[in-house]
This record gives sequence, C-alpha cells and structure tokens, in this order.
Amino acid sequence: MTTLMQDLRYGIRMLVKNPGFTCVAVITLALGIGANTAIFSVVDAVLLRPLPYPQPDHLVKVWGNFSGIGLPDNRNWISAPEFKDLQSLNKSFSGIAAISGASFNLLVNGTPQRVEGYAVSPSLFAILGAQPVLGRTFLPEEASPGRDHEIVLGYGLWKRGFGGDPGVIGRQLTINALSYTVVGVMPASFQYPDDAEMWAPLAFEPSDLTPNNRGNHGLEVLARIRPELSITQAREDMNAVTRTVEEQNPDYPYAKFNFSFTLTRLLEEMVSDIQKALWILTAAVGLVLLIACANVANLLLVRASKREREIAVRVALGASRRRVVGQLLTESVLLAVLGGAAGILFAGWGLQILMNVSTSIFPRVATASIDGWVLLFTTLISLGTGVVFGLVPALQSTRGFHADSLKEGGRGATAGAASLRLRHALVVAELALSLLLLNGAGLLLKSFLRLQEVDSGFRPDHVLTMRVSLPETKYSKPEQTRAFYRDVLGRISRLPAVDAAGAVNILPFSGGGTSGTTTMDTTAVPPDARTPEADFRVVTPGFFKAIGIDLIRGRYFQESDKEQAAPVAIVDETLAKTYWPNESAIGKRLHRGGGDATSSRPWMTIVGVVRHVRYRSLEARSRVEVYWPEAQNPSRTLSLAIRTLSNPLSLAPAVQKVVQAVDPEQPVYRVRTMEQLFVHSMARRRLSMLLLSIFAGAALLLAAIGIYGIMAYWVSERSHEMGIRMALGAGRLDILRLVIRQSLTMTLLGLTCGIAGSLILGRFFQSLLFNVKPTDAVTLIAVAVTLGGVALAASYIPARRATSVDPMVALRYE
Amino acid sequence: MDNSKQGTQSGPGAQQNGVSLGEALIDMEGVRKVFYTDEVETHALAGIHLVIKKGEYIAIAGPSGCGKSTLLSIMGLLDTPTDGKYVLNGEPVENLNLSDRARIRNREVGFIFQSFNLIGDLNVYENVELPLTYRGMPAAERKKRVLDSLERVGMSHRTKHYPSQLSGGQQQRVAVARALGGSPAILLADEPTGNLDSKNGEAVMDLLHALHGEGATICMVTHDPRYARHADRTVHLFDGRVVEESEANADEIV
Repeated sequence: MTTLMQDLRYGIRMLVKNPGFTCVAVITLALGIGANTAIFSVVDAVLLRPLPYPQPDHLVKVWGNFSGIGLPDNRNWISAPEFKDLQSLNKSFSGIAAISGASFNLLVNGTPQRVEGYAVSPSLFAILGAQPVLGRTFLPEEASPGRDHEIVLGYGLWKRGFGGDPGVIGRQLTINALSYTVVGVMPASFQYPDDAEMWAPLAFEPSDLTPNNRGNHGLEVLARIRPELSITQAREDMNAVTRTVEEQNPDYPYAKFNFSFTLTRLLEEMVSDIQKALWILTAAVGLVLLIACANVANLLLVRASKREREIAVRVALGASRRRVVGQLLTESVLLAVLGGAAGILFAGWGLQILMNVSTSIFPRVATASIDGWVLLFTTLISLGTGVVFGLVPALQSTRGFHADSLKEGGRGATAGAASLRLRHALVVAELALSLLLLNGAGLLLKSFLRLQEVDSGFRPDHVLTMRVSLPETKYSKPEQTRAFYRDVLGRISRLPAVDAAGAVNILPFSGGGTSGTTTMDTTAVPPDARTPEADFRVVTPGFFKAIGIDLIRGRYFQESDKEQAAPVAIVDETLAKTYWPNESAIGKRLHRGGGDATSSRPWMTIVGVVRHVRYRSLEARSRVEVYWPEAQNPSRTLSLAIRTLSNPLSLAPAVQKVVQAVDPEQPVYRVRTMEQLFVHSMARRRLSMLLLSIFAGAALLLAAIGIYGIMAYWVSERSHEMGIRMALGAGRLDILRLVIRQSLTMTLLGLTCGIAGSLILGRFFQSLLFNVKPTDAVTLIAVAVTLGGVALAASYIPARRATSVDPMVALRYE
Repeated sequence: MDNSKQGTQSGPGAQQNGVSLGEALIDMEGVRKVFYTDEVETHALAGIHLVIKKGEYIAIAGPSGCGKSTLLSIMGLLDTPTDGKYVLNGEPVENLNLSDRARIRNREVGFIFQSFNLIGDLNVYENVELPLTYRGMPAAERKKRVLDSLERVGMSHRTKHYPSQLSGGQQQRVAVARALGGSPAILLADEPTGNLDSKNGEAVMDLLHALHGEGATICMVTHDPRYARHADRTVHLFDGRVVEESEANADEIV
C-alpha cells in the first residue's frame, strides 16, 4: 500500500508537471471513454436491462406466421377466433392476453382530447405482474359486451388530466360519447403498450368470433409461459395448437401459407431489429477508444524516451523491472482514471443528445442514465484503458538496461529504435482501425443514399396528414361516417392553398397495415396462386391526387362509386402485371377472402391501375395492393391527406377548425407532414449512419494526429542526419521525399491491413446495408484514398520542417 | 599478458589507513563481455581477473573505451558477463535473473554517477529515500537512515530542495548520501568528479576518502591520475584487459 501511495503521489506530480501532455492525453481518453459510456448507457437501457416485469424471460408474444407468403416478414397478429383457439388449446401459458388499439376521444371540460388507449384482456395486468396505485384492474367478467365500460387510467394521464386526484376512482368519463367508469390508476412504471395512457376491457362481439373474421389479424397477443416450462417446450405446444387449428378450420388457407403459431420473447421482440445496429455502434466506439489508446501510448512512448535516464537510475538503485513497470502503470492508470472522470462529463452530454435524437427510434432509451452500473462499466474500461495504453510503453521502457542512459547525453540507441518501431506499429494499427470505421460509415452512407433513390411510388412533399377517429356511439351508421368525411374533405378542398384532399385508413410509413386473402378472377396463374395475401387500403376519391400516386390505366375512384353502385377496386401495377400479365386489368374482377371464380362473395371490378407504393418502408417490397372506395367500405378511423400549395404545417390549424366545425367534439391527432413520416421511416438508418460517421471522423482525426506525432518525432530525432544529408548536397525536395516516403510506408501498410480487415469484417454490416455489398470496391477505394490523403497531409508539416533544418545548426548540436 | 589473478597482496586483517582489510568482497575470474551489433562482435572485456577485499579503496583507470564502465556495470549487476565467474560478497552472481540482481544490487551496491543522476521530480529527501523504498524498509527506519546519510554528507539542511535548486557539488553529495543510505557492501563511483569543478571535485574526493576511513569499500572509475592516487590500489585497463596494477604509497594518500 505504501508503494502504491508513493507511486500515486509521484504519478500526480508527473501529471501536474507536464500539463500539456496531461491535457492532451486526458482529453483524448475522455472523448473515447465518454463516447463508450454514452453508447453503453443506451445499450444497457435498450438491450441489457431486463424488462420491468417479474420473470421477464417467460413473457412472449404470439404471432401467426404465414411463411408460405414469401415476404421478408410473414408474421401477422392474431384474429379473434385464433385468440380464442389459443386460449382454449394451449397447455403452456399461465396467462394469455389480447391487445387491440382503441379509439378514445375523451371529453375534458367540453374539449375533445385524443388519448392513446388500448382495449385489453383483463389478464394483461396479471401477466405483467402489475398492480394499480389506485383502485383495481379489470375483472374477468368485464371482458364481455355491455360490461366493458370501465377504464383504467395511466399515471401520466391521471396526473395531467385529473391533477392526480385520488377521488378519480368511480368518476364517470365521457369517452367516444359514452359513459365510462374509472376503476383504477396504474403506476408510472407501467407502460404497456409503451404509448398507452388508458385501458378498457377487450370484449368480443359474437360477430368477431365468426369464421369470416378468422383472417382479420388485428390483435397483439401477449402470454406468460408457465414457470416450470421453457420457451422450447412452449414452442412445441404451439406446434400442437397449430395442427389442431388447421384441422378444425379446413376452409381457411392455413396449410397453403404454411401457417404456424410462433413465439418470441418480449424483450427480443422489442429490440430484435435494432440490436445489431447497437452492437455495431458499440464495436465502432470501442475501436475509437482503441485508436485513442494507441495515440496516448504513442505519447507515453515519447515521454518514456525522455524519462529513460530516470528509469535507468531507478533500475541502478535496485528497482526490479516489475517495480518500475508497476510505477509506470500506476501513472497510466491514473491518467486513464482522469480521462474516465472527464469522460463521464462528456458522456452526460452525449447521452442527452443521443436520447433526444433516438427516443422514437430505440425502445426504452428514455430510461437510459449514467447509473451505478454504467459508472462501474466506465471505471472498468478506464482501468482497462490505462493498462492497455500503459503496459506496452512500460514494458518497452524497462526492456534491458543501457548503461549509456546513465551518462551525460547518453541514450540507449537500441531501445530508441525499438521504441520507434513500436510507435510505427501503433500508427499502422490506428490507420487500419480508422479505415475499418470509415469504410463502415461509407457503406452506411451509400446505403442511405441508395435508399433515398428508391421510388416510393408517391410524392411526399407538400402533404399534411392528421388522423381522425370517429366514435362508434355517435357514428354507428355508415352513412354518418360517409357524410362526415365527405363534408370535412369538401370544406378542406375549398380552403385556400389546398390542391387536393383525401383520406386513407393507413398512411404510408405510419406502421401497421391491413391485409387479407384476395381471390383473383384470372386464368393467367395456376389456381392455387390466385388467392394471394394483399394489402388493403380504404381511400376516398381525392386520396390518390392528394398523396401523389399516379394513375397508370383506367380511372381513380369517383363520387359516383357510392354504396349502392357496383363494387369497384383499384389495384397496383404489381398486382395487375402478376395476375393479368398479357392484358389490361381494367374490368377484371377480384374479391376478398379465399375461394374461386364460382365464389358467392361479392366481386369487385377493377376500374384503375396505379403505381406500386412502398407503404411499410422504403427498404422492403410491399405486398400487392388493393384499394377500396371508402363509400363502399366505410371506416370510422381515417387519416386525412391534404396536398398544399404552401408549407403544409401552416395549414394545420385551418384544417383542425374545419373538423371542429363539422363536429365540435371530434379531436384530430398525429398531425404530421408526409415528409416527416418519410424522414421518420429512415430515422434509424440515418442515426446509425450519423453516429458511425461521427465515430469514423473522430478516428480519422486521431489517426491524423497520430501520424503527425510520429513523423514530427521522427524528423526531430533525425535533424542531425538531415543536416549531414544537406551538407552533402541533398536538396529540400530530397529531404521532403525522404520524410514522405517514411510516412507513405506506414500509411500503405495501415491501409493494406485496414482493407483486409474491412473485407473480412464487412459481412457483419450486411444487415445494415441497402443495395450495397459489404465489399463495395468504390467505397473502399474512396475511403482508402481519403485516409491516405489525410495521412500524407498530416506528415507534410513535419516534412516541411525537415526541409528547413539548418545544416550548420544541426551539426553543431551533435 | 599475464591473466593470473590480480589483487591486493594484503591478507585478511591487514591494516591500511587504519582500516582492517577482510575477505574478498568481489572476486572475478575470467570475466568477458562481448557486444553483438549486426555482424560485429565487440569484446568490451577480454578476461578480467580481479579481487576487491572488504574495506578496500580501488581505482579503475584507463583510456576511453577500454571497458571501465562495462566492468563497473557488471560489478554493480547492471549487466551480466558473457563468460567468467563473479562472486559478490560470497555469492555467485553471474547467472542471476533480473529480479535477484535487482534485489542484490539494492542491498549490496551503492552507485555514484558522473552526472549525479538524481531524479529531478523528487526532492533531496525523496531521492535518498528511493532505494530504501525499493527494499521495502519501514518508513521510520527509512527516515532515520535518510537523515543520517544526509548528515554524513553535510546536506541535511537541504531535504526539501529539488536537484535543480542545488549546485553540482551539492547534487553529488546527495548522490553519495543516496548510495550510502542502504549501507551497501561497496560503493561504485563512475567518474564521480567528472561533472564538477576542481574545488567541488576535491570536496567529493575528500568525502569518499572519509567514508573509506570509516570502513567503506569503494571502487572508483576515473581517468584522472590525481584522483586515482586517493585509492589504495589502481587497476589499469586497456582493450578490456587489466594491464597494470599499482598500489598507492601510503604516504601519498592524504
């Protein structure tokens, strides 16, 4: 302990005595450690921290997997009949709950408010082990039609809307023009689904459970596996349930689409599509720290060469190598701990920025903080960093003893050469690691650019959108719904600066979708291929023009496509080409659900063919699309789409006034421009690209500093040699060439190692790329040229200095 | 060249300057040191036979490059011989590992360098204390020894000073105190006056002489005949060999 205290005291003295060195090293380390801490805080909150429920590993989501459809994601939610099947047939769940998005228009003091709410099975709360802070949750019998007028409030809504009044229990609320009774308030920690502010009991009407509704996959299903069972056993049970459901429902195309019930752990479900990106970012920021370590190790090697005599004296006085290495390591760990402390400050700022930009991208990121666990991580990486960058210089400094070091002006020539070789190796490693990061950033950038080039099938500019959800109680008849939207859209169309207005049940890039089996009246494909799974869109006549979907053939919907008129549909070009490849699809027929040409279901005549739209995301191919006219398929919840001649958001208040004018109790929500939705759909990719670019930029800067440092040192060590060369007739260009050649050798070696590493490790990027190969030669060459250019530019300054050596001065100082 | 063992003829218990000469402290037999650089072999020491007895004051002289410093490095266990035997204080030390050499060097050898080699970031007290901390000595004993040593060299009033605040002569006295602190078996001085003016050089030589008078064994490398005369015996090296040995006239030693 005495030894450690002495070493610490001496280490502090050395750091204080060399403020320049200390500042540069601490800032370099602080940036590296701070970035790692910030990213780790996010990784911890998003990926590592268990869900805030008892036995979270036993919580699973249940999916209906139609693997025979052949799309990248064939999973569907569950229909009400399937949920009932799962409830009755499963042997592996201690609880199972269905969740359905619900429309809650809450009237507070006469002002309509839209509240994010869900209709849920009463068992949901027990499955998640959640207890209310006030009142109770739902009773099993409340999940039945007519008994379902109870409400449980979320903590935020209780505080915000009711001032945290404990007397709220038993209070009657007007929701969707009906009276509901508040029975409970959930704690702030309970948020499931994550945007829920209110829950109502999910009650199935008899019509929900008819065979016709088996294809209506609108329920999210959550289950808790019995404590004594593993997820593997539960999956086997799901296979058995699948077989029974198939046998009991021969009319439904389960077998055709190779259907199965599948389970995924809840946490895995929440993070599956972002965990790879986060781990790659973690690796990237780890590489930045390694590069920072290499830079500090280089600084320490320079300092060690200046402390060679001191170390030799200590050895002469009887210090063992272990003792000297221990002392040098104490100094480097001290430096790293200072870097870590400063890094926590940087991490605090970095994390705040990260949370601001990624709240809507990473689940649970709002819970990220620099807590004890993160501080432990920072402490460990600080100590580890100190050892990593300190050990090699310490071992190098104490390798062998050079009696010359103890003499006036003496220097261990061999140690100097070995130290320089080591420093060269560190710079080569820095360049190689930088190239890895730059190449990764380059690939993501190229993917992003490629994605922006993708034709979405519509024009998102100058489009204002907002959602309207009409309550069933007030708009129970289809004609009421039709009248509302016709009136609202008519008034909006007459507003100044409005080019076109329409409505759709689900906007592009807004998440979710409705789909179902559709039967095509065609002979161009085999009978079993005539009933594809298609995406359905319910639209008003003005929607196509408002959102900018071009007509290819036929016509758009018209006001004349009324309820009483002949049923019509518009299809996308993919569907038309697939099922009527050699003829026009106009006038052809299709109907919802399975069957064949002799089916009794109502046929719809195709009146138009429009461009294919990538509704779900720019990256994935959508299913074939069928549009139904809203007049023939009334829907209470629609999104308005308004093409404007000016800034779309500036028109939002006027549109809201129009809606209020038609129905003063009707709120609108999710007021966004289509461009915002478009940008948001690429936000995760943009964030990954941005972060990796920042890390790569930092790596480039550190590598440039590293190569500058080594070349400056190399030149200063050889000023005498330069003097001799110049005395012997070497010109400035010869000297410049000499230095640049030295730098070029290191640079080429670093680039070669980096290119090899990129080719080997590129496959880990595969899932983050879009239309770009991980071994993309153009990116690799561009990155190598950039890095090489920066490296040479960094060594040009020392090279210039070398050419200005005065031979007389250099020789006199020998 | 006669490579027979060279050493003082004085037997155990013999008296010189009132100091009793004991058994051999350093006993070297056929010590060779070869340096290899690229394809060139440099024979720094070519078979040294040397005995230094306890309490003896010996000077090693010779021209630049004759192997004086190499011999001193091997004596001080800073380096190992390529060949030959070396017994220090009764223990064979030619094949010890690094950590054993460090341990023995710390206990048995005190170094005094031409360029003082005080650590600039440590004050006088800490410089003298340094070898004692490597020995793991308790703080109280360290303090006593440091103050005693500084007292002996007349520097106890400068404990808080840093080397840069001292004159060359003072720095060398601190270096001597540092060498003395651990009560080593032998003091190895490599040109201890080389960086000092004549007045300070004489003062350091007087100090070494006084220490010898108190029983210290000293081996000093010097190329200055004036200072060599302070020693009981001078060993002359040339091309890595002992070419001559001369004993000082007792009357010449002041």
